[in-house]
Amino acid sequence: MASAFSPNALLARQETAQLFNRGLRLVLGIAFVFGCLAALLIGLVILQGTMPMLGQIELSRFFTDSDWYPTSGLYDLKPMLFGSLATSLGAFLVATPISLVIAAAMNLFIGPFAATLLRRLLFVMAAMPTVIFGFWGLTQVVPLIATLQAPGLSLLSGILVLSMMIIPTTTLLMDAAFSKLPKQLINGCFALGATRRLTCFGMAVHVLKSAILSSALLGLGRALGETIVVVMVTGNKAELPLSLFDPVRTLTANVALEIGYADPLHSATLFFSILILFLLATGLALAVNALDKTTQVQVDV
Amino acid sequence: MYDQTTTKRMNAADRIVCAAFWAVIGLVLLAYGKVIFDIALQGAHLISWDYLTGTPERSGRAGGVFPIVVNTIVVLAIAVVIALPISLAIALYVTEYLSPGTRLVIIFRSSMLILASVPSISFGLFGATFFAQYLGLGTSLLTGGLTLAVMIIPICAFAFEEVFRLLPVGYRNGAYALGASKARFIFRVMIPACTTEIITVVLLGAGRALAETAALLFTSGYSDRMPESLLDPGRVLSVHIYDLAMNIPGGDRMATASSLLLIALFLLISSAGLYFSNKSRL
Repeated sequence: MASAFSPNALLARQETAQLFNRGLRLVLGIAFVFGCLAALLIGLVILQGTMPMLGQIELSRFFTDSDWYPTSGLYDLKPMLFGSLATSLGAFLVATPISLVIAAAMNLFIGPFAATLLRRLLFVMAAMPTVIFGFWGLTQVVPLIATLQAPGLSLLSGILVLSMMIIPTTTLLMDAAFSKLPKQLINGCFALGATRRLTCFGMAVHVLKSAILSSALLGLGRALGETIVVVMVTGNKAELPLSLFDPVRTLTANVALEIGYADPLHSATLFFSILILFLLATGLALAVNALDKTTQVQVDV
Repeated sequence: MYDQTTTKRMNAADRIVCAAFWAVIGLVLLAYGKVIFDIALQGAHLISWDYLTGTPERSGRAGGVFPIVVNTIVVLAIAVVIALPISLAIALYVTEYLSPGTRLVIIFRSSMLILASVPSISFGLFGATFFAQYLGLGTSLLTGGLTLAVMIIPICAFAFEEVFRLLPVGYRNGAYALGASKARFIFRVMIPACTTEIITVVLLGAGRALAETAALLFTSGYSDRMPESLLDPGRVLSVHIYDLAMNIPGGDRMATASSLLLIALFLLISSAGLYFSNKSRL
């Protein structure tokens, strides 16, 4: 009687299994290739969106035109470029020291219980819908700044709300760096009689400086790419601001506000401004990646 | 004992620094607490059964949010259903079929890294061009869901890869020693052993998708009516808040209520994520 264990049946089962294995490999491989090409595909689609601009607008006009008035053919992107850089760099400058202090405190100063609790809270806040920050900024921060100087919708409010948005992310990244610090280094410092301050500022910050920088740069990248928060709190005036209290418009806000009614040429300029951000973010990500490679702390015991 | 941190008593100066650090932590927590409490206090009395089950009236100034909640759930579901198998497949291929450090893996990592760090609005433009125009899906829930899927795939794939690398090497060796094929190992050992972690990652991705606004502005549309099919446009909760706060005079009150609802949904997903990540034993 031919049983399930007869040579023929076993061979047939082996063949089916092999076929299944090959099929699985193929399916997973296709997904993998898609993953490899996805960034390129998105970049190309955005690049393709800028095509109507070709031969119509010279790149230098984005800096030499007198004004941003696309319906009349004036394409001055300077204020928006400045707005994007000013808001994100401002948030970077505010958020980095605060994040560093919290991350250092979580690892070297406060107890593990409080640190774990704080870590969970930050984890939740890091993924908070940005529209919540934007709306809260619009109804709470903007009126507060308006009491100092009208109109309140300003570069300053953008910086403040953006830094609130990125602090959890940068803190958690720096915290991860601190927690990878070899314990021998900390114990060694203590054994040499160093205070906690010296252990933190003299040793840990020094050893982790590139990891700290890369965390801060990732935060900068998040701030640079944020759209909704800046649209809601910065006032969106396409002019160079004269002070922190003046409204600004960022590249992302410009796209969100105008793409709805843009004609092909106008929309090509908007795609172009996103292309700039896309390339900036790509450069930043690769720089951070290179930085992280140099961070591996090696300690022989 | 090498991997233990010695506890060291703080001297007076250390205590002062520690107190200053606590003050910074306190201020930051106060700010986040204020975000939640401001919205909760002003929005709580606006949330009622009628609000949750009603339809928006006068551009959202009055009425409820039921169609918007439905849109949100549909877009989220599409994003997760598409992103889960693809990111799982990507992570499986990388961990099971490629050796780390090869050129292919480096290309893949760079691609995912770039996708994880580019502004979300570029996904919006991509979705509006690729899905809506090239594939002819128009401004619709499906376009919005697919756009979000593309956005969360790198996040999920990275996380899955990390999970699979945590799997004890004995599981793999044991399965292969018993003669299991690669496919059998993946489906009978790896995925069952990582179920909790996979759920955590899915919830993480869903939270990210729920939080997104910019990528949906020009992909899923502004319609606040009840959708009849996946090809109908429909605004999600975050876009609703944005629209009420920015474009509708007198929409602030209802925007607060919708914000509270969004925060509640978000906290629900994140706390489920935290629950499962605590259950993880890998």
